This record gives sequence, C-alpha cells and structure tokens, in this order.
Amino acid sequence: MISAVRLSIAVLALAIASVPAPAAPNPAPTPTPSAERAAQDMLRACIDAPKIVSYIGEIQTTRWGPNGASAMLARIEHEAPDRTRRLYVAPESAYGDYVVTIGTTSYEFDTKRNRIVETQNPVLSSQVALNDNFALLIANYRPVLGPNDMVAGRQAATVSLVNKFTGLRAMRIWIDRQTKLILAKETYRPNGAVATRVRFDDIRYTNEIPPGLFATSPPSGYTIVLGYRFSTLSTDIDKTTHSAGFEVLGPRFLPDGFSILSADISDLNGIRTLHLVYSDGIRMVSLFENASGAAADFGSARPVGTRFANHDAQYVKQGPTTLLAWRDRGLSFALVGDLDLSELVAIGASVAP
Amino acid sequence: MTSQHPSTDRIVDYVHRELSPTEDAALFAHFAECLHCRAEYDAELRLTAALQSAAAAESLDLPSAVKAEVWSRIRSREARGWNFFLRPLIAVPVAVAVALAAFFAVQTNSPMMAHPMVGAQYYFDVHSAATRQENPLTDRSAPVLNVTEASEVSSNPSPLVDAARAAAGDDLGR
Repeated sequence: MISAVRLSIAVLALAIASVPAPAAPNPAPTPTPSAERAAQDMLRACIDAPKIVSYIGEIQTTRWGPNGASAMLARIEHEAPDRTRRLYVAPESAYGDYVVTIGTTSYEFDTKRNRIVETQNPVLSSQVALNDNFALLIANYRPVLGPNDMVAGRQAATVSLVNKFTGLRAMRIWIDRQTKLILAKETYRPNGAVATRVRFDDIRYTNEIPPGLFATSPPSGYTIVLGYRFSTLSTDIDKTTHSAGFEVLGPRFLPDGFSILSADISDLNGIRTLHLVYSDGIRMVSLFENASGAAADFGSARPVGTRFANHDAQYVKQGPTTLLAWRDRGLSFALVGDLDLSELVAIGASVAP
Repeated sequence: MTSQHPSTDRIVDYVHRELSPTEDAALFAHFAECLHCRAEYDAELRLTAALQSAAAAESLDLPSAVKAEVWSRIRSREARGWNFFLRPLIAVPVAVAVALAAFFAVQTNSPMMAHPMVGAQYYFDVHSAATRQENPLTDRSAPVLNVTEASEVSSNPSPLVDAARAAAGDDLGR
C-alpha cells in the first residue's frame, strides 16, 4: 500500500515537473560581465585596426533626414597606418573627385575646377586623449554583443552601444571578426529611427596598393588652394577660456553623461571665437561664443526662429546635426550637435553666469 | 537637491563656478524651480558685479604735488617730441604712410565692421572636425571637406563638398 502511494506521488511529481513553466517575459539582454568585457575589447581593437590593416574597397554612406535620404558612394584604398584615398563615384556631381588623406592633411582633388584644396586637421595625434575619450564612451555606453552577421562577404561581430542613462541604443557597429576593422555602422535617433548608415559594399585586404594612388603633387593645370587649418583642441580648459579675452559663459546643464572635453580659440576674419567641446563618448556638442557681436550667417539656409530663456534664437539643420544660434549679454552663441533640438535648447537656456 | 535648499556658501560657489559639474547642474535645476533660492542667486550675482565694478574703479590717488610734477615733465617731453616730428623730413613721409594705412584699412575692414558675421557652415565644419578628433569610433582617415577659411573656395565650394554636406560625408565617422 505504502509503495503504491509512493509510486503515485512519484508519478504526480514527474507529471508536475514535466508541465512547462509559464513563459517568462522577454527581458532586455543584459550582458554578463565577461560578455561586456569581450565587447569592450572588441571596440578597443576596432579603433586601432586602421593603423594595422590595409585594404581596397567600396563604401556607401547614407544619411536620413526628416523627410528623405541622401547617399554617397566611394572607392577607398587605405594603406596602414595613415594613407587613404577616396574616389567618389556617386552622386554624379561628385563623380571623379577624390580625396587623399595622409596623416593629418587632406588633399581634395576638385576635378571640375582643376584645383586641390589642402586641409589640415591635427586629428588624433594624442593617444592619451583617445584613451580618455574611449573611457568616457565606456562610462556612458554599455557595449552589447549581438549576433554575427555578414558584411561585404566578411564574417562580422555586431556590437550595440546602449546609453546607460536612457537605455536607448545609440549606435551599432559591425566588426570584421578577423581584422577587427569596422565594416558597417549605424547611428540612431532617440526614437529609434536610423540616422546614418555607413557600410562597405566590397572589401579586399591587401598590402599591394600602388603608391602612386596617394600622390598629392598637382596635375598639370591644377592650382593649390589652402583650406581651413583646424586648430588642435586643448584639454586645458581653464587656460584656454582665460585667454579668450572676454567673460566666458558655459552651460549649467548638460544631458546625462556629457562632460567638457576640450577647448580652442580661433580668429576667423578677426573674430576671436571660443570653441568648447562636450561629449558623452559618442554624441558631441560644440559651443561657440564670441564677444565681437558676430552673429551666425546662415547664408542660403533658411533658419527657423525659436525662443527660449528670453532669447530670440534661430536654428538650422544639416542632416542629423543642428545649429542653434542666439545672443546674450553681449556675446554671440552657436550651439552645434547631433542632439535633438529640445536637448540643444535645454543646454542653450542654461548658458548663464 | 530640489527638496533641499542650498546654503549661501554653495550659491556663492555656484556664482564663481567652483562647484563640480554635477553639483553645478543640480543647483541650476533647483534655481529653475525655487523662486526663493533664485532670488538669493540673483542677489549674489548683483553683489558680485558691484564688487567687480568697484574693484575696477578703485585707484590710488597720488599727492597733488607729485601729480603736478609728473604732468609738468610729460608736457615738456611732449613739446620736444612734437618739435622733432614736425620737421618736414620726418613729417611728410609719416603723413603719407598714415594716409595709406587709413585708406587700406577702410577698404578692407569696412564691410566686416559694418556686419561682422560668422558663416554657419564654419560652425558645422569645425564641429565636424572636432568630432573626428574626439570621437574614438570615428574613422580618422576620413577627410574633413572643409573650405570655410579660404575665401576663394568658400564662395565657390566644389561639387564634392556640396555632395558631402548633403550626404553623410564622414564615412565611418558618426
């Protein structure tokens, strides 16, 4: 009798155990520490990849605005560590033009006007700043490994960067599993819409790139025009702001995760302008100010009027980037960034003594 | 912070930007909600401005005898100096040089003095360049298609620049 009861209990227990548990709600993926660490290592490696690998390929860039999209297609040859040529094949207006970048100098070959525009940008000479900025990115964004994918015939790992404050995915990148080169990248607006996509349609790794491709000597009949000399951004904010020559105002409010990165002063046509750069590691905001009464000249663009904190302001959008300009206390301000207008307005309204 | 009023010392620190960015932002948010603290902040601002203008206006007054002696010496030197410059050999070339300088200064500066402006595209371009410098996930080999500094090109941008501005333009940059 007892054994029959035991048998019944055992059967009942087995039956209960075999009943499937109710389905749990699908939780947001939370990476384990080791998975997050692996994603971080992947990110770190992809930053250094262009210094190591050489390639030839075709790259497509698409940018979505509020009502449409535009795109560029370029053939690209890159010789590590720092020589790159981009030959534009679309749109038609840019067909045949190309840009050779060697280190910090770019030579834009304008084949329609037979001229070369030489532009200096002291990019990234500072590995320390790069490390600091990577640390800022990791502090504000959680890298989440996604499923593998194929891009241009290459096996790619995917990493999403999720904002730790908002929980929103800001960027997704596809990284070549073998070379660690970024093969594709998408950025997203706060509502989830894709803002930009850059993607290799084709890529071939090779060290045999004809050196003549990177020639910068002007072809016969070409003139050389000096483009803008971008200044080196300083991380000594106090020193830079004190040398501005006017009472500098900065924002009292910044979106979560943002902090000031660098500053510089330029004299454009005699207008001494202070440039402050803020970032959360991915998104960037620039605040320009001058005491010369020099307002922003929107040219043929059609700025939209707005009002905040008793200021009459104007803004204009260029793809995902917005410029907001206003005057206050004898200073002219321009705030530029890939943020929503409401965020820029909140920052602008907080620029006060 | 919104439920806790900052002390006067903290408000003074805020006025002088001595707080950490987090504290600074917290006080900024508090002032937006709390009229009492906002009034105290405004009062501190006025006090700071008054102190600064008083400090700027403050000067030490020399005894009148000393001032008289200083002015007397200055005037005697001025007289000698002007006599020297009024010699024709010096005065004529100087007058010509001053006239030329004034002419060219007016020619080159008058439009800008009347309407000083900074092109919006300049701000976009410099921001884009900064993004390349500061964003670790930027493709740093991507060119900055910028022409705002060169006036010749500025008024005549290339099709590539136009296309890049219409499209993304910075490849794997953002």
